[in-house]
Amino acid sequence: MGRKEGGKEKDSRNLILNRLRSSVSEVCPARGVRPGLADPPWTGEEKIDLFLKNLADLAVPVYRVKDYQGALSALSEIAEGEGWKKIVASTDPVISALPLKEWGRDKAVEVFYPGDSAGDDACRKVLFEEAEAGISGVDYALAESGTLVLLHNRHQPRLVSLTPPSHVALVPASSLLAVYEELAGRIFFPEGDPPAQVTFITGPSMTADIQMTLFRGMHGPRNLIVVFLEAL
Amino acid sequence: MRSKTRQFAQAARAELQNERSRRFLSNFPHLFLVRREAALATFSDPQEAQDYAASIRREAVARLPLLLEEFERNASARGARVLWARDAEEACNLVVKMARERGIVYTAKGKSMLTEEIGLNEALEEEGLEVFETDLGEFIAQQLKRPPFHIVGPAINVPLEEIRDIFLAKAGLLEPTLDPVKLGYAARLFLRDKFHHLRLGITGVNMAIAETGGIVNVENEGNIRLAKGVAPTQISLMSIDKVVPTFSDALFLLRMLCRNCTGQKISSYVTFDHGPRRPGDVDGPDELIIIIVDNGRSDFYPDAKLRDALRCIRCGACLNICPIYGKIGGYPYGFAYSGPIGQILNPLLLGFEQTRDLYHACTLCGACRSVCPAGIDHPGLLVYYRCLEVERKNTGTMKVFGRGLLFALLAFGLSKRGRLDLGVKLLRSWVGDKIREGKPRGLGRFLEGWLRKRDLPPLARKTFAERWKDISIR
Repeated sequence: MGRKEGGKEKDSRNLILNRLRSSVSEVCPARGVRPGLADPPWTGEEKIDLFLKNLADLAVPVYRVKDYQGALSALSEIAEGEGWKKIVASTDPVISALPLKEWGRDKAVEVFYPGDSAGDDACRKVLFEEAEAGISGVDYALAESGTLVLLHNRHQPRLVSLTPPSHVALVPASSLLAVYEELAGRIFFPEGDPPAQVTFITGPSMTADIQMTLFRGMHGPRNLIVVFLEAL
Repeated sequence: MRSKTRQFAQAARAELQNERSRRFLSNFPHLFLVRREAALATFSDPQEAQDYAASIRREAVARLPLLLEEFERNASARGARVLWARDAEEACNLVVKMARERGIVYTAKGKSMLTEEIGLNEALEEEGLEVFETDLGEFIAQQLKRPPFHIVGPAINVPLEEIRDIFLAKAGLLEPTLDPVKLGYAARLFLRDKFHHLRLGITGVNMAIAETGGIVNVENEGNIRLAKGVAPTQISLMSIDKVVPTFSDALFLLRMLCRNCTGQKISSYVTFDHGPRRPGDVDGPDELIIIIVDNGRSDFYPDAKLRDALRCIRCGACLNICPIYGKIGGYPYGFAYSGPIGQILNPLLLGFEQTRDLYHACTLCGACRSVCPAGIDHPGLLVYYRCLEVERKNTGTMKVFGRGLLFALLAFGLSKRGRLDLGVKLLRSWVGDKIREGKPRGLGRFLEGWLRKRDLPPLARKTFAERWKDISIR
């Protein structure tokens, strides 16, 4: 039975491909140069300005801090404003350098790391029902559209930046790239396997599906908050 | 999906009488277009950018079999399971079989036009599986059992009262409200529970990257991310035309898709999947199954003109600018695809016989072509469909002979000035005598049929050329 089914699938594959192959192929003229955005390439300050401007257009609050110490103060301010009791955090390189557990003890905020768990039902429950915020670092940020790039692996779980009502992203200045194309070599062509999932995040979850009225937090976070680390 | 394309004229007439639809359509397509233009202005030369996107799509379609093989090879190397389906039935059966084997009782879906096209929801429901559309607009359309009004906003026209009532009945809305935000929040809560315990996530595919074997999903809500982040099994369905050559091509098309669609620089979320979760990952699917669906596309692929229909990236810009869509909305098109791209695709997928009204309901103004980032010549294709229809109809010997004779006479009459003047003189006096109340009478069935919807004012005694001669002499 299994073999028969397998055979049928293979038949479909070959049938489709053979039909496509048997057509006269069109000779495509070589493509011209990929057109660029207005006024690239941005360097240094320009890149930062554009990144922050794009975030402002998306109504994403930004905390500009110098280093991890500044990031912790920003977190304290956000935690107080939103009244956090329990949060989840990634264990990616940016976050793991942050003494988040100690900070949590100090502020009476419970910090849970899905990356250190078995990813079981209990972990799911924290992510879906209990956490008020998810804190993650980013692997890259893109100036051209104010986009955060997360490469998911065990230290950067997919759901930390997705299920809680707020997502706080720590963005080191050194992670900032100008345009999308700069990602290609960084994601796909170093040694080894690309991550199972790469996510671009640009603003909070939203929809305008009911009468074009904007609603933030449709399925993902209602708030996206960026902490920009200038000296890192 | 069961098509209702035969009811085009009837449905269009009904929508023209629908005050609400009219009011809505007088606003929103225009708003999308304004945003689109502003977003495209971020390119140093927007037209050049559109042209480049078109050249990517052209190449993708021209190299389709090679790219599909390359994609399959690379996606498999990343650990994805790639399956192929010739038609809707085979695709649906594959999904049903896999759901059965895994003991699935319900599934949550991201918005996918392909699954509308192949009727996946109906197929799963017939097998007793519950299906939850999770894109807000699609969720509303599913509850109301309505076809999509717009490719991007399937229920964007539905009045608040209707959403309130259906949510009270079926989506756990506790208190009646007409606040769109509260309605959206009710849907969030209802669907969140489905996501929490999800075992099978089903999504479409915006692009498949041949070079890397990855699939790309573009969304604003986060429902696709949830479907792909929570469930142990992910099934993503793509039609054969979704493949693009390289990662950089995908990134460029991403810019164009979002700008042309909602006028965003990029949507809130874009995800790139390369295989299932890796060992040690705490979330993501254990298995990623990609189903490549043909459903009639390879039938028309050999025709170098028809093949252009496969360039479409489903941005919806052609709907927003179309003067016909702008009057009748998405329902009359009667199938998954509406607006100009529906007029192009539905006949190819369903056959020309039952979609005649679709490819005739166009004035060939070319607005759609002017905004298309994939470089599709919609009016050219519609004229081609009409030509094919005439060729199909005119096969009898007498008809071919009669038409030949008519055109021979016309060519004879038009090729010399004297003959033309003489012909006009004779015809004018013959027709002129027969005009009563702005309509010619007794000219024979053929001409009267043609003139039935056209006014013919009384003809002046002399032609312009004759009067010109008089004036010049004076």
